[in-house]
Order: sequence, then C-alpha cells, then structure tokens
Amino acid sequence: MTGRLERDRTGEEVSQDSATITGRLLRLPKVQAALKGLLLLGLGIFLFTRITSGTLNYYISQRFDWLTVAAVLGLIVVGLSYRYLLQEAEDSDASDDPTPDVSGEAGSTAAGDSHQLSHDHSHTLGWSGLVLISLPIVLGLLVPPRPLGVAALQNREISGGGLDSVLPAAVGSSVVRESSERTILDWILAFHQGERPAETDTADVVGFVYLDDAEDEAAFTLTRFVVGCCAADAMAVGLPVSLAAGLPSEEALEEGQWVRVVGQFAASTGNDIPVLVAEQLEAVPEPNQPYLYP
Amino acid sequence: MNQTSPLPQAAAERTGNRWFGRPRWGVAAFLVFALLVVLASSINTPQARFFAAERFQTFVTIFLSLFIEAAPFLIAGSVVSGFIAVYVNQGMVERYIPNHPLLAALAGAGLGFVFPVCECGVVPVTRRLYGKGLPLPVGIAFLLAAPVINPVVIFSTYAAFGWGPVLWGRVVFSMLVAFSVGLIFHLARPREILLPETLAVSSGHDDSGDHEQCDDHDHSHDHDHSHDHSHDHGGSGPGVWQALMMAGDDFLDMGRYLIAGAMLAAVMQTVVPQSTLLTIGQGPIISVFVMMALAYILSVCSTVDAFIALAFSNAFTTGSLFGFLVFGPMVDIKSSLLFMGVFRRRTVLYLILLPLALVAVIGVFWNVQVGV
Repeated sequence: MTGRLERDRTGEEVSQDSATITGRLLRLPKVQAALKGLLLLGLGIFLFTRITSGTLNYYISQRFDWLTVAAVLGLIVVGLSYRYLLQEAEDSDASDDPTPDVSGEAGSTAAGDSHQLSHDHSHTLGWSGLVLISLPIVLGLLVPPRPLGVAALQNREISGGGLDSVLPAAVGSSVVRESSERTILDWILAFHQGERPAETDTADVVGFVYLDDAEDEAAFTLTRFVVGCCAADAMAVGLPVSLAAGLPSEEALEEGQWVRVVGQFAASTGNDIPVLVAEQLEAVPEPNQPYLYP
Repeated sequence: MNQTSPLPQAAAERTGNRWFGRPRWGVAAFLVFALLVVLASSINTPQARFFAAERFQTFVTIFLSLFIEAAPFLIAGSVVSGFIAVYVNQGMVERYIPNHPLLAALAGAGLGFVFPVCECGVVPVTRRLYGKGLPLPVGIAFLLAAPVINPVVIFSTYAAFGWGPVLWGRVVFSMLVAFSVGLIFHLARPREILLPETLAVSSGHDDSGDHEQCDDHDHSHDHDHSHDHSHDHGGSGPGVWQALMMAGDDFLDMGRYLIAGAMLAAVMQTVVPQSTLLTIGQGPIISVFVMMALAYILSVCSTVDAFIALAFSNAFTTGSLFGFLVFGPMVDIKSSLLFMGVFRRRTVLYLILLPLALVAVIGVFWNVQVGV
C-alpha cells in the first residue's frame, strides 16, 4: 500500500519534472499573461463572428442576443487588460527583479513572495485548462454551425401535449394572428386551446421534413424546434402533413429538407392535431431564424 | 487514480495547490469517454450510422448554446468579483455582516440583492468574498441563495409564472434552504471546508476555537493577501485594470468548469432519451426527484430556467417544479464542478446533498399536503 503510494508520488514528481521545458515556458508570467489575454480575446472574437455570420440564433433565443453582445465587449475589455500585465512584467524584467511580480508590486516582502507563488499557481493556466478553454473555439471552428435538426429528434419526441402552458402571451398572439401567418407553434397552441380548423382556414407554414413517427394517413411531420432560451431546452413541435394528389410522392422527400406547405386541415378524427393536407409543397432554404420562440 | 488515499490528500493540503493536478486528469479522461459514448451510441444500427456525424453536430450545437448562454453571466460575475477584489476591503465586509449566526446566515441569503449574480457568477464572487474575510456560513447561504434571490431571476420567474405559488414559493424556499444550510455550516471550521487558496481569512469572529499551531501561518497569509490585493494604494497602476485582470483570471478558472459541465449536459441531452426521465415522473414523490435530476443534468442558468420549468408545468406537479426551480440554481453539474474550485471535495458533497435532502422534503411535502 505504502509502496504504491510512494510510487504514485514519485511518478507524479517525475511527470512534473519531465515537463520542465514546455511546462516552465508555459508558466512564465509573460507567457501566461499573453495566453490568457489571447484566449479571452479569442473567445470574444469567436462569439463576435457568430453574431456577424447570423448563426448566433442557432444557439440561443434572439431575446438574449444583447447578452452575447455584452459578453463580446466584456471578453475583449478583460482580454485587453492583460496587456497592462505584460508591460508590468517587462518593467520588472528591466528592473533586474529575478521573479517578475505578476501583481505589479515592487519590493514585495518574503511573505508577499510566498503568497505570490501560491496566488500565481492557483491561477496558472496549465495545458488541460488551455485545451478546455479553447474547446468552444476549436469545436466551433471544426464543426460547421448548424441548427438542431433531425438528428436531435433521435432522443426526444415531437411534442403536442404539455405545450398549452407555454407563455400565455404566445397563446394570445396566436389567436390574434391571421391564419395564414400562423407558425406551426401557433397552430398547435390553437388546437390545444380547443380550436377546430375552419373550412376557410388556410395554413401556410414552414418547417423541416421528419419522416419517422408520421401517423398513418400523414406522409411526414412538418417540424420546428421551439426554443425558450437556448438550444439546450429546445422542444420539437410538428404538424402531420399528407399530400394532395399531384404532389411529389413521399419517396421524393428528403428528411431534414426545409419546405413550405400551403394547405387546409382535414376534418379532425378525434385526434388532437388534425392532418394538414398539402396543396402546395415547395423546398425552401433554411430560414434565418430556424427556431420558433414562444 | 487512488484519490481517496490519505497521503496524496495530505500532500495536497501541504502544497495547497496540487488539488488542481488531480481532478484535471479525471476531467480529461471523462471528456474523452463522453465523446466516445456519443459516437458509439450512434453507430449501433446501420440505419443510424448516417446520424453519427449529425449527432456529433447536435452535441456541438447544444454544447455551444450552453456556453454562449452562460458566458455573459460568467463574465459579469467575474468582473463583479474582480472589482470586489480591488475595491472591497476586509473592514467593509466585517462592518456590514452581522455577528449573530442567525442574522449572518439571513444576511448571506439576502446578499444577492447587493451582488446580483447567477449560478455561474456566484462562485467566483463567493470565492473572492471569502478572501475578504466573509464568514463561512454567510458565504454558503449567499452561494445557495443568490442565484434565485436577485432581481433578474425574480423578474424572469414572474414573467414565466406570474404572481402565484410558484414565484413566491421559489423565493421563500430558496431563502429557507440557503439559510438552513448556512446555519449548519456555522458549526464547521473554515479550514476544513475551504480549499487552502480560498482560505485567506483570520479565522474570524464566529470561530474563536480555531486557533491552532497553524494560526501564525494563517495570519501572515491573510496579511499578505489583503496587502497583495489592495493595488489601488500601491500606485503601480489603475485599479480598474487590476480588477479586469482578476476578472480574466476568474473567468478562466471558472470557465473550465463551465465548459466541462456544458459538455456533460450536452452529452446527456444528445444520448439520454428525454422521454425516459419524463415517463417516470408523475407520482408525488418520484416526480420531485425526476425534476431535480433534470435540473441537475440540464444545468441551465438560473436566470432563464423558469421558462424551461414552464414547459413541464402541465405534466408535472407543483412540488416537482420547486424541485427544479429551487434545487437547480443551487446545485447542478456545472456549479458542482465550479464548487470544486472553492471548497474541499467533501464539502462539495455536503453542498449537493444537504440542499437535495431539504428541497426533496419541501417538494414532497407540498405535493402531499398542499397539492396545488
């Protein structure tokens, strides 16, 4: 037991010592300051590019866009503050101080030095910290930005129930809205309120094609994700769609394809959500706002 | 990987900063494992092989969405913490925090109105306040209550649920739990609770029994800490830059926990079927635990979690909503990882289990006795 512990300890010491060159280089105050500053700036710039490329709303609700703008400003200002630290380090280098004082305090006492050491250590960015912090940037650059789609439906259900409570305000707005302007969410909320489709109601909705789980008489489910604050709480809503004669058959539909469907609802057969009979079906590009907001 | 053995623990205590060397390999191993799980789970059937790449994309989208949603609050919390470090001195903390343990815990639970931070921001602020001599129970109460007891979160809860039992219940129960846990920690000694680098405090008014042989060391530590952080008197630069730099250090310290937590939450969301959790949760007791588990896994920021709870409000009991809205902000995957940057690991366990037990009792009691 003790032998094993001993070995563990020596192993650790060896591993710590073996990293001397790169490790020491990484731990130089100047390198640390530069790395931290660059990381923060990098995160800020990364978020900024997501704003300018219009992909920010793949991740969060547009209600919180301003928060991301604030975060970009904050990250950049905080990142720039390390420039000051770099200058301090250079100054103390010049003043022949063997241990560059990170906190910028000249003539520190012995106690101050020992504290400085521990302070320095606890904030030191090691390799693993470096990797973790840069992970959002790395993953964000390697994997092209995409909104949630069919793959995200693999482990969740298209929700019809439990929705009537989503923001009373949203329910109100769906009643006011013209039927041709209603989104999938509006329709579903309306149906859950007990509204039945009138003969004259024409639905004109946009969503993506989801082939699995479609009910018998429906060809596919026209699906959208509803996002409360960010993609982590996304909830899928969908209307069953059947195809009127003359439209391309089911086989021609590609899963995940964004389509615009114009049509009328079939008479409800006791089912909560009536089937939408598509009279017009066209492929559309992915909308700028892929999610719906309650 | 024998982390429970006493010797490395002791070594960690002595050096005071080795603690970071151990969990980080665990975190790294966990992340690799999590990625493998995501990939492996999607190539079981030939039909699903097509989704392997897409599922990874889903994982990245959810991970980034959590990070992007939380980043503004984390940077705000870090900046507040940085400015506290530079502009709040120990005397101010001691002057305004009452001595009596009951009042102190109560003050801690209400401190969120002074420092409006969410669950990501509260940890660096608490850590900084401990460095300024904040008594232990006050900090614990603040840590648990502040993510709910602050203007932003109360407003978002009001926007979601309006005036009603959910809003005031959330506020009252959060205060109650934070206050109780804070009181419990009044009995503990800071040195047994906090990590050495958090602990920079002369053991304080509430803990007179804590003077041991390490006392001298503690005092000198405390001294140079306050000395070290009062840069605005040193004339070596504007305090604002110092504050911002400390904010940067805090952001990077806490950010790695946020990122690890966001990855875990994203893995869960990509792999575990949502229906699995939800189909269980109808009973008055089990639903409370299901919603608490969901809150823990989702790790959504307390400023916005009311809207998520709203999505469940029809299918779930009100008691279980309290489980989600009271327990979630106090403890979730990412905040329990953040806690590890402030507290000893045993304490982190208590900080998870005590609120868990209290909130479970409250939620079940509400379901059985009130039933609204």
